[in-house]
Amino acid sequence: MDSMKRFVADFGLPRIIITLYLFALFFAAPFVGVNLPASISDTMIRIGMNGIMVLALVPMIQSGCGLNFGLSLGVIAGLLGATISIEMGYVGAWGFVAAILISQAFGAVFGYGYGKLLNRVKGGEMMIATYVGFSSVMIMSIAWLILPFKDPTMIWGYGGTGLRTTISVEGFWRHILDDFLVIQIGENFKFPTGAILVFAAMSFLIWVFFHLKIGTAITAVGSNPTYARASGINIDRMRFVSVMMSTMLGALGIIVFQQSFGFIQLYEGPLYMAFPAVAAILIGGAGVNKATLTNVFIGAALYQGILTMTPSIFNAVLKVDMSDVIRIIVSNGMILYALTRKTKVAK
Amino acid sequence: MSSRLRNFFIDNAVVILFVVLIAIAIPVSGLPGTFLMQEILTRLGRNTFLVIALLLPIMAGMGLNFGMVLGAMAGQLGLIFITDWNIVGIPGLLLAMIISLPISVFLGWLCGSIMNLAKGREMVTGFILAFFMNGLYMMVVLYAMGSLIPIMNPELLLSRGYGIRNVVGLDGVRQSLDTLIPLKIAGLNIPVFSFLIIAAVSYFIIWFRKTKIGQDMRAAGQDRAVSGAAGIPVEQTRILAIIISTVLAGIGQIIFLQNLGTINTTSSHEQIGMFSIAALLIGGASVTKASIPNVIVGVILFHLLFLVSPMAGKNLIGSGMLGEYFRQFVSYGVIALALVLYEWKRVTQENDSRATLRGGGAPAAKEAKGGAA
Amino acid sequence: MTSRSLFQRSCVLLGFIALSIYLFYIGKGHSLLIDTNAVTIDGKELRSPETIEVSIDGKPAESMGRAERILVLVGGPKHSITIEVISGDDRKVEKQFTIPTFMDSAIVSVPAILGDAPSESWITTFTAPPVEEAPAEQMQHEQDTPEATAPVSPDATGGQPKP
Repeated sequence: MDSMKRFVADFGLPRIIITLYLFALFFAAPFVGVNLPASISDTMIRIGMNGIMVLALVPMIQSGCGLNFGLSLGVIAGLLGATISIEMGYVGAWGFVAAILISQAFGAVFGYGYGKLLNRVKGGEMMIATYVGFSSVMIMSIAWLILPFKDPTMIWGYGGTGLRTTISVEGFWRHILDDFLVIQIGENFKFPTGAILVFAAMSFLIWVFFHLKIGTAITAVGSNPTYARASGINIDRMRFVSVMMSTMLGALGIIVFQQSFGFIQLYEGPLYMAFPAVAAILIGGAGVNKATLTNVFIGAALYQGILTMTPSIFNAVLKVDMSDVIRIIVSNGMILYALTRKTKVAK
Repeated sequence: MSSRLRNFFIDNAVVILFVVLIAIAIPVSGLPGTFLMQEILTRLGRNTFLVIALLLPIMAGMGLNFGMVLGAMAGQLGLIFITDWNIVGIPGLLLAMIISLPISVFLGWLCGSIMNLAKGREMVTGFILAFFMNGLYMMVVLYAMGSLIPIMNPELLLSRGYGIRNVVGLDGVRQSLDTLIPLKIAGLNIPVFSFLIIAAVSYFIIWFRKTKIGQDMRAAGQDRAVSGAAGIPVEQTRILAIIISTVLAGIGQIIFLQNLGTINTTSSHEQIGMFSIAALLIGGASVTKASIPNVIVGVILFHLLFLVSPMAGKNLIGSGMLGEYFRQFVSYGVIALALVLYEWKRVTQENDSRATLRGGGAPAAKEAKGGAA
Repeated sequence: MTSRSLFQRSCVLLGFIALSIYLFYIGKGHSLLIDTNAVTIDGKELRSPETIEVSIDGKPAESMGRAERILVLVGGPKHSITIEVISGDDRKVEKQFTIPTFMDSAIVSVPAILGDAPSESWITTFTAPPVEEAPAEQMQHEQDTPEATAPVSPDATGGQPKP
């Protein structure tokens, strides 16, 4: 009984409720005529799609910068990479690689400024990150209107100015990872091997990174700043590195997302992109200043599972599509829960 | 003397920046002066009350109350009910306010209590809480109304039989406050009664600051530990600040919507927090200090920019969207800027005081802290 | 909580409830259908004059012919109606009337008022024909309704189903 209580306290009641809710959804699926293999397949595809975005949050949480609501900066870098790659006319794997390379360059530039800024405002990162992210999205919206892109698949035809709101990557690199070594079982089940492999590889790299000297230093800064300062770690530098990493991973994440989703969403599209990722990692058990790869995996799986299963089950049972409302309540409820937990205050 | 001049510019940097920006944008937009005057008068009547709702939490040291959206939701629920019951005119608006009152008080209490759990992170907590409550609000409005909560007028419901329509027309109460005391000067309609209400609530805020509770609130805002030791119930005082703010936001939203004449059921409240906060900050307020003049100046400057930027954008590059994005950028950007300035100042002062502490200069450190407050 | 503050709070709460009920009573909106169709009261047929001008609560007057209906939106229970007969005998009648709170749409009969019929017969409930018959028209009417303060032009009654 005691161990049960400790488990509840450690894991957190909301997380247990969410997990039980997801299990209930999966359990109910066959009885209400929902196609379970297709749902599981959808969940896998979504995990591959969103995994790296969730992963991108780890460095900043570990270094004590909190939840990176400014992930949209990384997303913008990714959008720039994708659009410039298409503009240069690369298709297929080369286009995809070019998009990633260009996005990493932009990610590094944005991350540089963003990291310098966040080092000046220690303790107030989250709110500032949110609004820096929001205002960057808006500045970029103006840029999408006036940047001299020429490729006819991307710009508005007939009299419009600037790029389209959504650009299809069909014919460029749609599903390039999802279809790599894809495992197709029957009609409904598809395992996106490539995307999952890339996600796993990136996770492994992050794991390695956090076992190197610099990675442990970053963790020390987040978990015990006084100790870190005493042992001669340059706190600002570690935080800066983590912000750069997070932004560049975000840029990679959105490109992986686009190849699976099939579209590049410009203008106000990236505005709230950080929130689902943040909710996912928190559902996975991360706190405001501690996150592990396990949190990423569990979080991505639970969150995407809920997103996939809720609409189909609710539609089948109640003939109501409440999934949007449930998504809003679950993800923001989870963030709220994490914010109000008594954490060791980083000073 | 020159340092005083420099300080004046630093303290009012945001206001000066926006005055310059607007001075450039008005001629570019080509909008006539009388039109702008009329619009500004209307928007002053429409938005000022909402912005005033932000003042008390700032005084209580809880920063910009992003949770004011909760009050706006309560106000909208009140308006939906009076529209359903078809209560018109001033009695309708008053009834909507009375209905919103208990909802606002409850939501404000909830918001304040949650913020007490997240001291030092009130703003981001309020921001996320607004999203969370938006989910519950949608649940009530789109699913419970018409099924669990009786709605008599089928015209208000979606065609599926429950849930409120996306747009609710407020024909019965439209502009009934603004036109209660009609006044026309030089061809401009002046919403006298709305201005009177705003004057009354401004007076209330000024009076409240001087009361015992108001003084406690200010003390709690400056130093929680010291005021707690002095016997001030810090947590209750903070909750009270949020409750008052939420109630005022609810009433403010009703005033706002009676002027517009329609509710966008799922979205009218969403941006109200951001717009009000941006307006207040453009008026020269900061995260720790805000006054009634900040509110008035802010509403005028923010809405002038709001009015002229789409046309200015259209005339500059031929796209109305440019101005639309620009004004959204300004709203978000000014909030980001204010937050950065505030945290920057705080971090610098913390470092300074730490340095002086190490040097053994305790009084100097105390002074630095006083400056922070 | 002391019993005194409990008492005070209850009083405030009761005050608010009383105020709400009062506001409901004086603010309840009604759709008035000013009607010039002939009515038969106590076996006597009352007909409207050829042309009249009608005004509710001192709003700008509307001209009406025989067998017409115009829609006026009002709030609250007590109203006054001014009828000016243009054709035939030139006279002006001003009368007060009261609408029951829960009567949403009321027919105000001009011939009954002019014919000095008892005041109970001036106002009758308007029940819309079953929705199945004319749902589209019904919708049309509600959407076309301009704000409460403005008088409604006779054209706006076009969507109003005539019995």
